[in-house]
Amino acid sequence: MSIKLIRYSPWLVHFNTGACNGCDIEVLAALTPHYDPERFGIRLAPSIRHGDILIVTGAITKKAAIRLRRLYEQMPSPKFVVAVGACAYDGGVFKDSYSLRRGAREVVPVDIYIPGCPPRPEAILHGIVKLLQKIEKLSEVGSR
Amino acid sequence: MSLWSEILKNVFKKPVTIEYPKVKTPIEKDFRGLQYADLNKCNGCSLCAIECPSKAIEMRKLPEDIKLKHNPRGLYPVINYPSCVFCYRCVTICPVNAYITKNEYRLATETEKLLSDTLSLQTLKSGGA
Amino acid sequence: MTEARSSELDPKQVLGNLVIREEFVKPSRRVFVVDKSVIREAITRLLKTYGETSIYISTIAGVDRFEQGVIEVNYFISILPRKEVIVLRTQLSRAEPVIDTLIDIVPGVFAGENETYDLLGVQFNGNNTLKRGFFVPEDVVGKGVYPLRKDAKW
Repeated sequence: MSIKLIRYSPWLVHFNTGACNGCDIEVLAALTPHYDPERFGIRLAPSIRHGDILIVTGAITKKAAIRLRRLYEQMPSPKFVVAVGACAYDGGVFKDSYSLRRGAREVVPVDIYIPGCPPRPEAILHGIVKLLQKIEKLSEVGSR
Repeated sequence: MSLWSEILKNVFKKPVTIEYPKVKTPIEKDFRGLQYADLNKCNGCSLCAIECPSKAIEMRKLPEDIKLKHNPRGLYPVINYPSCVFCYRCVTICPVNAYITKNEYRLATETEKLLSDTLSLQTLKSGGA
Repeated sequence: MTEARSSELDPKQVLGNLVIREEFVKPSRRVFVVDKSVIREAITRLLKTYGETSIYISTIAGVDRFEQGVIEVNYFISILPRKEVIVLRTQLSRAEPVIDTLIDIVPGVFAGENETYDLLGVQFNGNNTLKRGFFVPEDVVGKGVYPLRKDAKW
């Protein structure tokens, strides 16, 4: 029952763990009226306690991984995570650096990856629509 | 007076939203999208795997029953798309121009790896033997 | 009376006999090599000539020259009335890189000196705010590695 309510109106929270800000600009451009995500019921949440979907951009540094884990544990369940960009998948071009973890899946469980450097706003919307279809399949099986 | 004409003009204009799944957004012709190797031309030199800045290309051996005359080592490149930054250095450095480039950018995935091996092996079937 | 004319003074004339030689990097950037023991004297002379509010230290860049066996510390100084940026270059030996601090005359070098200590291992005499975990994460600090040196492994 609780997952069905999320499918109709998920609220997003966006967190940047040491990125170059390229993926942030594209994520914020996907939330403007030009591409209009409010047709799917999506809006930006004011705080983490009101959020349903966490969007992670940037190469995950070791110092930011502690704060990301704390944010994920403060979100109320049911919750989902989307990793945007090549850096959030496994570090991108900075794979063998002294201050990075190897991708977001070492810290939080990720549901959808969106490739690109940076991905277009249409590609980000396509990824979020895929996540909503996955939630629809889950709510038919049973709640988490 | 000009204020009223502005108000009247904007009341009857259409909204500026691009309704994404129904309407395709205009993309320029040389947009850097999906790329994969054409096995009819690739000769297994591995220059693209050496050049890739984020090490997204891995060379794999061809399946057992395929023997190609222009590929004596029997290797072909496999790209892992979530790691790729689409810089197209592999396309530029290939000495035989063996890469096919497309405009496709909708690549979101749930699985951990998204590989290009099926796309590359399909170029052999429709082409020749 | 000297205040009206101090902005026309060339920095090379101000530094005078402290400059060992001048090097060329690119056409609009002048690089002066000074000895590491006179760096406080040079900065004090520049501050007195141009005034305390028309000069500031942009950044401190440390370079590890492995083949020559020196560590270079470059001070980028921006002189506002002449609209130019000059560079003071000092060279320290790689086995024992120690230099005097500038934090009591110019408090703005706090971030530059901390970063050079944390990433390259250069000691600044008289600065008691230096500590290891400023930029480098904890497990690399635990191995005792300075990451920007050319022979560092983590």
